[in-house]
Amino acid sequence: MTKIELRGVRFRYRGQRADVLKGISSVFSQGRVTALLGPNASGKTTLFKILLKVLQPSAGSVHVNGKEIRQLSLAELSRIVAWVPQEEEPLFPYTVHEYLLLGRAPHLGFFDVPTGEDEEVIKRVLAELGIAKLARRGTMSLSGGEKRLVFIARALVQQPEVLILDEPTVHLDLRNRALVLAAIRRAAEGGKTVIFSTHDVNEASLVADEVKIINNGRMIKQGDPDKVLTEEVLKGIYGLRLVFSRVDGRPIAELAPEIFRRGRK
Amino acid sequence: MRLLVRFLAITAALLGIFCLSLFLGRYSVNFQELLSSGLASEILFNIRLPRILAAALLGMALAAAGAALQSAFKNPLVEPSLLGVSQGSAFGAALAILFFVNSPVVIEASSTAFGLLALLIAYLLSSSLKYGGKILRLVLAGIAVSAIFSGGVGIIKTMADPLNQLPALTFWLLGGLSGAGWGDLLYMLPLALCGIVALLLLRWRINLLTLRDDVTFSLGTDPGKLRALVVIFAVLAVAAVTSVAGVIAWVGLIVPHIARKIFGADNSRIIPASLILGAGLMIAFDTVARTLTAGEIPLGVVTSLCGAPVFLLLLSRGGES
Repeated sequence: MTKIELRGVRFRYRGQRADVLKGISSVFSQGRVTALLGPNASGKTTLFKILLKVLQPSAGSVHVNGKEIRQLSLAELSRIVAWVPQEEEPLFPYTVHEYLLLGRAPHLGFFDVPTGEDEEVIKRVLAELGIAKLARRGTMSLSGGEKRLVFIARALVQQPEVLILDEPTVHLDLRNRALVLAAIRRAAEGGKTVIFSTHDVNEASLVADEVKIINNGRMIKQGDPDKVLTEEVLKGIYGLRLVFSRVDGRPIAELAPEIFRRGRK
Repeated sequence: MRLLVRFLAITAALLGIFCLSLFLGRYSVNFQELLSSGLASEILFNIRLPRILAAALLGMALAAAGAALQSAFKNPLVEPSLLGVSQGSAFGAALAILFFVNSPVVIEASSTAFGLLALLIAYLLSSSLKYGGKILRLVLAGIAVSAIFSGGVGIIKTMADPLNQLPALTFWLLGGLSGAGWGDLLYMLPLALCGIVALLLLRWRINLLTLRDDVTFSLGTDPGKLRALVVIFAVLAVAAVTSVAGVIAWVGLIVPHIARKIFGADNSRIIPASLILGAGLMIAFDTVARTLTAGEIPLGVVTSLCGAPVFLLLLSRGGES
């Protein structure tokens, strides 16, 4: 089932001459994990901001659950789409529990304060992610991996249908990467639409059901990891020779060793 | 549960200070006199009580506004006077005194309008400055706006009629509650209360402003609109009390920090706690101002003398986590 559809979305920042997004059409389906791959400054962040209604497209349209995003209020949208940025440092040292309560804002009236019902949701999400023991800790005392899981928990507390994550595994060690990626898969298996950006080709290949490659403001390739992550496509983007192998039937790409040999001389 | 005990403790402290302050002063009053002497009850109910209530309202408004503005501007060093609000209010009041010396309502309205204007200018300036980070830009803009408005106050002083307007102006600018009676209390009450109640209602939602703006958006709240709303109500409260008490610094800065030491980071506790602590602290400061010497020390002087060391003490006691 189609969750989000972009039709010819263009975007240009005020005062700039060129479009950052140059006519993007794409579909994100329910219960699937989509990896958004693309070099720095390719337009990934701008695309996310449009999906969050932080920015309005200059042309084209975005449809969420069949409704144009323009017709959804921010509050309505926030009950459908949740956002996990790479880094987030709250101004004051909230406890994890207090921080997660903020994720209930979409479900509360303007002057409301969270109630026991909201606390129950938090308990459930913390247990699902296996981090119940963090509840009373201060957000500023968490390790990098714990922090990332708490960010994801804050988004899940929103009880969204769509989860968007900006490079969720960047700066994490292998163990924490595994935890985060498992949480992403579990969310999709629970019916959520998951979209995450990454620079790691192999992470996209192994975790995602679908890979979309964005380059220079255009969606240049989208589909099965097997069909998208080919030598030809990747060479076109990064201009590098890569060596391919397969794990679990999926393509794995590494930098060709001669690149380092040349550097050593 | 532990939090409830702490709230009860600071409320008890506030009541204690209130009662103590009522019986302290140059004319000492005890219970027996209160029952027998007409003068004693006159002093207590028509001079001390309104002044103490005015001090409480002043402390509540400044502290709650300080807490809200610190969150709204993502900066724990913000207080109303740092952003130019107080100087703007002072200018507005001075301007009104120049033309309508005998009409407190006009003075209050003018004070409110210019306080809001000063904040608006500081905010717009800070986003166009090309130096330093968000925090530094805001502080710099606030300093500049404060300086401009206090310069304006200086000009008004030279223009004021030295027999009538200048004394009124100087008295106002020193900052303090000497002579504040029921009338003063009543006319700052509506606006101050409106600001305080609004901040109290928004106490939890204000937390959303301490997150990244894109996250606030994703939680269904436009951070720009919420910030504007919080700032307007904070400035309403501050301008209302400033129009009676003059520029009182430091309380709006330190009280939220004291509250965070006791109650943690969540604004749904910090705003109410700041109200109680702000009231208690301001009553104490004002009692010192009117009892320490034979004359009266301006309240603004007392809050600066006591506030600055407390602030340093808070910061030197390490992180808040």
